[in-house]
Amino acid sequence: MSDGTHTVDVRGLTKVFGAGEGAVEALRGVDLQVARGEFVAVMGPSGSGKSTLLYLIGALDAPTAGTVSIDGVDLSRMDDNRLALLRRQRIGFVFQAFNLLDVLTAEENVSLPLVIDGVPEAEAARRAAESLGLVGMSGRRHHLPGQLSGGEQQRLAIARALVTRPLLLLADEPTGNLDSASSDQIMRLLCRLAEEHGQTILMVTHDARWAAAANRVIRLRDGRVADEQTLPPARAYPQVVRELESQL
Amino acid sequence: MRSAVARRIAERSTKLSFKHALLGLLAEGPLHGYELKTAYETELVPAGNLNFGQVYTTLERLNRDGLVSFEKVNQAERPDKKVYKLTSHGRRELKDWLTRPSTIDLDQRNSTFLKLMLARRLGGVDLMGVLAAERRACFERLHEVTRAKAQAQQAGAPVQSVLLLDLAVLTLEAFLKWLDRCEAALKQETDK
Amino acid sequence: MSPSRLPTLWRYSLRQTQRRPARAVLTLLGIVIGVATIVAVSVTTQAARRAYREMFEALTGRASLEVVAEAMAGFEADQAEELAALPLVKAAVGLIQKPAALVGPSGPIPVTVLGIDPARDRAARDYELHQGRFIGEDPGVLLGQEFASTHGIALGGTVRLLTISGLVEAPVVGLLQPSGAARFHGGAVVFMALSQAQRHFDLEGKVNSVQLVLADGADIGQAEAAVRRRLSVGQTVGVPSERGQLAQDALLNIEQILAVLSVVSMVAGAFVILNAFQMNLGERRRQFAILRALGASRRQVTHLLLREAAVHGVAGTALGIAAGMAISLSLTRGMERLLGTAVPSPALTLEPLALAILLGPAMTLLATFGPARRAGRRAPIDDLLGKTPPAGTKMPRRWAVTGLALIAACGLIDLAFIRGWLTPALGRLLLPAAMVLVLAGSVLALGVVLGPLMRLVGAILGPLFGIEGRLAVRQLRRHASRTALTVGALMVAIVITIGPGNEIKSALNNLHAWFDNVAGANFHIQGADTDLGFSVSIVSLPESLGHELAQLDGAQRVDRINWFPVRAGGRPALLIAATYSPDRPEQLNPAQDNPPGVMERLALGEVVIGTALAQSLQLDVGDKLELATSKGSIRLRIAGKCNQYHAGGMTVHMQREAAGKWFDLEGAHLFSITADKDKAPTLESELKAFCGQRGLLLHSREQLRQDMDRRSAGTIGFLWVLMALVFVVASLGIANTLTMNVLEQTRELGLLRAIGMRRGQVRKLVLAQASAIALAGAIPGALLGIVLAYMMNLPAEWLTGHRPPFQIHLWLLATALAVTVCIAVVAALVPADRAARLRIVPALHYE
Repeated sequence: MSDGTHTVDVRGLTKVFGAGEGAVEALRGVDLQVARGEFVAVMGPSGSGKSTLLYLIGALDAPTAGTVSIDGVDLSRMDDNRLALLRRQRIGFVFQAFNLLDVLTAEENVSLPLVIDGVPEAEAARRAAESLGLVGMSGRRHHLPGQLSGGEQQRLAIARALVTRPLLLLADEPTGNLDSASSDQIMRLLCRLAEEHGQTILMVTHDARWAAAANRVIRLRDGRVADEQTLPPARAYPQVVRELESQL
Repeated sequence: MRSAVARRIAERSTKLSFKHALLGLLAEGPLHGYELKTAYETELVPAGNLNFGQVYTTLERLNRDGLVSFEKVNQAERPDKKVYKLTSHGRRELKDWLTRPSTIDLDQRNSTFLKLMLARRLGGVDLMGVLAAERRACFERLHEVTRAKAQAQQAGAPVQSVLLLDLAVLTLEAFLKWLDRCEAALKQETDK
Repeated sequence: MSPSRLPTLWRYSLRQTQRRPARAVLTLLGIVIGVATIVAVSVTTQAARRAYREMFEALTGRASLEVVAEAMAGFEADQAEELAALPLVKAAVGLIQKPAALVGPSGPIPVTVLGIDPARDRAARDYELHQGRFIGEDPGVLLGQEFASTHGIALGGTVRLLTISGLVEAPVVGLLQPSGAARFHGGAVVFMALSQAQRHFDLEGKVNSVQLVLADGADIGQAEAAVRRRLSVGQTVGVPSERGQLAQDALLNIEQILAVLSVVSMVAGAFVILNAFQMNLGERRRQFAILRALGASRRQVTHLLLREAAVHGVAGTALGIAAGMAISLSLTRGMERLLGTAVPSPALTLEPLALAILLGPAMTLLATFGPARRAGRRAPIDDLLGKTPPAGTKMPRRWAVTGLALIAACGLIDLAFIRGWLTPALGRLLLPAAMVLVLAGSVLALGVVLGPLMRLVGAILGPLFGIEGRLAVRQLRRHASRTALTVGALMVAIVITIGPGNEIKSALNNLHAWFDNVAGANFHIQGADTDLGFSVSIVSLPESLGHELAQLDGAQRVDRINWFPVRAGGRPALLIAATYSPDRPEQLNPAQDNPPGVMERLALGEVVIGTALAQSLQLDVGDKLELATSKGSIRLRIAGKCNQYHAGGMTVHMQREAAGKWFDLEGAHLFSITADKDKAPTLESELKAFCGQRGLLLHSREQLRQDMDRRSAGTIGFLWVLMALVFVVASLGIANTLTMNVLEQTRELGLLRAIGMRRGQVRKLVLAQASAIALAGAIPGALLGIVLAYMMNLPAEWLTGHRPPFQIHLWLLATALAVTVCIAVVAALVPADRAARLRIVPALHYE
């Protein structure tokens, strides 16, 4: 890192749900750093605490212990308003269930974070159109979410997450509700964002097939980091294809 | 350098029937030996790297079995060349082969299995460490083919390349899942 | 602005609202009902008050002060000249104002006769002639043009007037434009020359009013003081409109009921809004979570919701004002009938408008603020993942505690009331507040009692619905918060039906009992109908009629009754002087705690006063009552008290002969004839002939009673209609909640179907739920309704001076319960059908 600051810096993160005998420890002291421009996947079986980790990083929930810092700022020092501001301006969310507002058109959905941030409507619409172009959805800007396929809805959600040009894109099982062709498309989009735009991405998935797209994989098990693996830069695809064909 | 895993993938695939590949190429029209080699390399298996010997010995065997016939064509300043074409017997054989299901060849030989089983028996070896190393290696490979596939799709690569990459992705994914099973089962065993 | 030009968040709100139009309508109805009631009641009350005020203002024209003698007795006409000589007075005109009956083909019409000096009256009043000429010293009269055409009287025709000196015929010489004094008494005014009036009303050389026009820039207070020094005993000077005071006192009773009802309907409206809004929020939780995840702050979410509520509030208020005005049109007509006097068309003045503009959005925001705030404060994470945390299904304990505290506060206010710790002014303010407290408190506290309540309901419904009944109750208990909301809506509906309903019914019963006592005689003869305020249309009939009536065959006894406004202890009151008989004390409807011998003391010249007057003057039996008479102030001992509905109980009763010593009774206002046994039918035909000849108004007791019911029908009908309306809106709330219930249970119902429940069973399950909700709302609702009715009964003491015995009307309870259960079941029919027709597979995947 040039300035020594991580985009995400998680230390000793612990989260306990409930209290007393029924208490569930979702996270038990997780350390994690994500540098700017990294594409990191968090893997683990269900119940390993990976989604909890994502929501804590995204300031949607507060940890029981430990700290989350985004771009060097400790979230525990922020009040709810500043956390909202952080989510609004610096973080983009992509959910498994898309979470679009079904009465708003594609363009309105995408412009929503800007509107919430007080950007003038005209500029918000312009930037939303730009963002829709980035995910290849320009032709669908006046459609309602209900008129779009699952894959298209998720692309819409990604466009919405990107419209504020966030520091960090958080994706929670983005392909969880999609068929494999749409999933491929979404993953290609994420790879392209990471490679071409240097977008920092933290993605949670239980599926190795999608985690493998990232540059680094964190494996969670029982609320702890079980393994961490940085993946080497991939070779250009014709080389890989040739190698596979030679083995036929 | 080819990793053990990559080799394993090649080994695991159902054996290529070179004989039927040639029959298939001839089904579209008569070809001579060199043309056959080029067609094989461009249309079927781009990285095939055939040698002429292999082509000619196979063609002779096919001729002997009455599946192909040939006629000699005179060429100026060069040796005569044989132009091969499919006999009706050969056409029938090709059709039979295409419609007959291949015997799925489950080639289970792989060193990971062996390593795990040995590590399990031997004391003083970190079984989980072996497993983790195998997984990392597999994941690295999966990362490569996944990215390659994304690039290939993005660049509009031919469908046979993409499908081949898909086969690799899914095979690796299956292997990773199998490793998870191994981990769970072996952990349970050591915990006892 | 076209919808597409609206900011994105407004568009979001708009489309979200459009998606559930029924709910938006329900919210609007809640506001409309609250606002419309407030507006209608306020506007109508003002109109009625204005009716009395303007009546006297119209009469006085430019004059700012009026000199009258007590009980409108006559005094020397010369006094006008003396007063005109005062420096601050520009002009003083004497006149005679007397009620009379205009005998027309359809019976006598109460009118006011104004005897004016044709040469000088224009100093005080303007006359705009429509047709004909102005009056001179001849017997000709002037009529309002509108009044004349209504009653088929033409210029040049003859009017027959029933006065103290019998029937008088006079030609109509002119018709007036409806302005100035011609507007007095709803236009029922007959102008004649002063000299003529003096003759007809036996007031030779006298007037009974001198109206003073002050010099420009003269101070009214100084002028009043200067005039007062010149007055003789028994005369007063004042602002003319003050003469409507007695009528306004009589109105208080009705006003109080109307005010309480408007507060109650406001609360009910607020609850309907709360109910609809809660449903709305419950459904949209995930959307707010999304907004929060996208970076909306708590405030932004809360503001978004409050903005939606405010838009509803503003729209509902506008509609409510319009509806309120429409309602007040018919309510005013009802009041008109009740008061027996013309009430001007209702006008939207600043006060009701401000009240509506303030209260409409306020009640909406009040009902929505809490939920909107909570919606902003919810942790987005649970809603995003579609998980409802276990805490969400239970009502917060805080609510229950608050609810119990509110109920306790209400109990304290009630106690203070019963113990008499509160002044009437404070009590009048606190009592509606206490009613709101107990309503809101009970809804909040429902969470605590819901468990036992549902067990009770389960026990009742168990044998009826079997396994489906048990399942239904179990499901309702699991979603305690949602159930409480529906049960609360229903409870409020029942409370507002039973509470005011019980009171209206009680009041009607009391009124009838009073009537039967007071108007015990078989027949009653009057010059014309009387107005409730007894201020303007009291027609005097010659004493001689009484002797004639006594001669009729079958007439056992003839009572003479007079009434007129007086000042008792400085307050306006109604004096009723009658030939009370010691053996018929019920004529007075006496109070229970009277000492013995009241009737005897009455005969000796003591007075019996209405409990309301006693309360207002803080006087009791044995005290002396100060009465202003035209001969000066007198002090009479109070022999007893009585419960009266005349003039709101502000009455003074005297034996007629005793009253004659102090007041000029000039004939009788009413003859009550008691028939000999079995002779009533013959007497009736005789009386008919008798009255027909003389243009008198004859009522049998039954007719009078019907007349009374007819008069109150408009107002009472309004109360019932209003209650029914609130009930219907609350029922719509039930349909809304039940539909949501089924919607939210889609998955569970699908599961039940998947494991083999038949359609009929599902339908039965939903109907059982509806019945359970209905019962759970009805049981506490009925109890609370009785509490509310009791609270409404409390302030009656200040108005009437006695607390009418508290009655519970079981048929009302039973009807309300039956209607509630019916409504709940009917409201559940559609949702039940919907549930039964659920397609199983999609239902199982329903989120």
